[in-house]
Amino acid sequence: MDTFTDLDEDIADAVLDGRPAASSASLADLVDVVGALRRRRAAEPVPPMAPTLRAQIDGGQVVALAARRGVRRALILAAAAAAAVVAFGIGAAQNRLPAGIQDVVSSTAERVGVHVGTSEERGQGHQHRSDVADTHAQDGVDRAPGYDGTTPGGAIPAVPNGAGEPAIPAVPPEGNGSARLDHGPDGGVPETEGTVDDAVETGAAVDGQNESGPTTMTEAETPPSRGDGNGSAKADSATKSRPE
Amino acid sequence: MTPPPPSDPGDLTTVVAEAVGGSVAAFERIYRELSPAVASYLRWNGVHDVESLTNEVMAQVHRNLGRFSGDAVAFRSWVFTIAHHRMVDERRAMARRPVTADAEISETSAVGDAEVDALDALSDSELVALLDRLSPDQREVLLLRVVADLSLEDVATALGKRRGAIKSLQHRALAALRRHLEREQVDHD
Repeated sequence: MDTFTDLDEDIADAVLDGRPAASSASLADLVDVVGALRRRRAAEPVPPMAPTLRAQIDGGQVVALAARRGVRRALILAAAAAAAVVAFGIGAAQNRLPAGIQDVVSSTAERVGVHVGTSEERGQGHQHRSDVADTHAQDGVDRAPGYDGTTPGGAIPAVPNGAGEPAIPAVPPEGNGSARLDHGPDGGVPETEGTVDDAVETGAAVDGQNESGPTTMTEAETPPSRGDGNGSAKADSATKSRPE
Repeated sequence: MTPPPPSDPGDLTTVVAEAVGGSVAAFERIYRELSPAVASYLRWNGVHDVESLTNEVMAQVHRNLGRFSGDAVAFRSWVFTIAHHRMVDERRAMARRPVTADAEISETSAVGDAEVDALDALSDSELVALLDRLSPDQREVLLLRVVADLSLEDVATALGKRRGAIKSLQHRALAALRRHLEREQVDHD
């Protein structure tokens, strides 16, 4: 039950603001409380300034936000300019800029003693690059010109299968030698140059085991399959192709 | 050190602008003008180490001066927003520490000066007892309105509440005070 019908929100606001309220006589007790608090506030002494605050003020650490924004903007512009210069430099060095820009950059660079190709040299560059591209195999590996993608004789050289283990004998040069599996340094099935299906179809050696070739590997020495992808397929193929 | 007479808001606006620009003298004047009100606000809120926390508040004000833009009224509101947040932090820290007997005593001691206390109808301890009747929100609103001298809008901003909610809180605060004062009157009679 609210018995203070003369104390509505506006009057309370007036009392707290120190403005004369409508029924100020009945609000005298509240006005006294508010007045007492105000007098205490007015009589409050200035607290002594702590040495740390004194040092902070004397250090002059205040930097206006406008100044901070200016510095930040300048930094962003400088970073953008540097990125543009680097991008142009790389583009010009690789002769990939539009012809007009490339020529301007080239002539400008020549003045400071740096040679950058012009757009006219681009065609020659393309011709040169195509020559180089011919020396790349389809698998992306650089090879000398004239490389035919096969190893001489298609045989695997005898490689020791770990310390103290007998070497895997060279596989007789049957098949076309394009699919073979080498033992990796961890004893697992390494990557091959051809697919296992190719090996099965052509009768090429898989893990040094084929129908005609002898093997010195025992069951326990069989390299573990990878369990996924081609590795698993390779191991399965090897098992299937093993003579009973 | 006695507090300086209240300065003209327009004048204080200039001082604040100078302080933002890095003037040490301007910030010293801000300290002299606002730190007593900050200390009083903290004291009536029951803060134990008033001087220390007032210095921390003013140090944060100084650190963040570069972020402030506005006039003297806005600056005053901003300072008390910082004071409120620091006080809340202090209370949380105190809640994690055991309360000592000294801390209980300090709440009612060293409030104002003896002359004001003698001349006033209400003593410090009576004021403390009255404020203790209020909920924390009501007490906070009352002190920001009276001691910090903030408007309804500024109190709403400082506490992160709506203006209507603050108006309702201050009304309930005064109603609670009045109810308590009337009961005391009846008991005396």
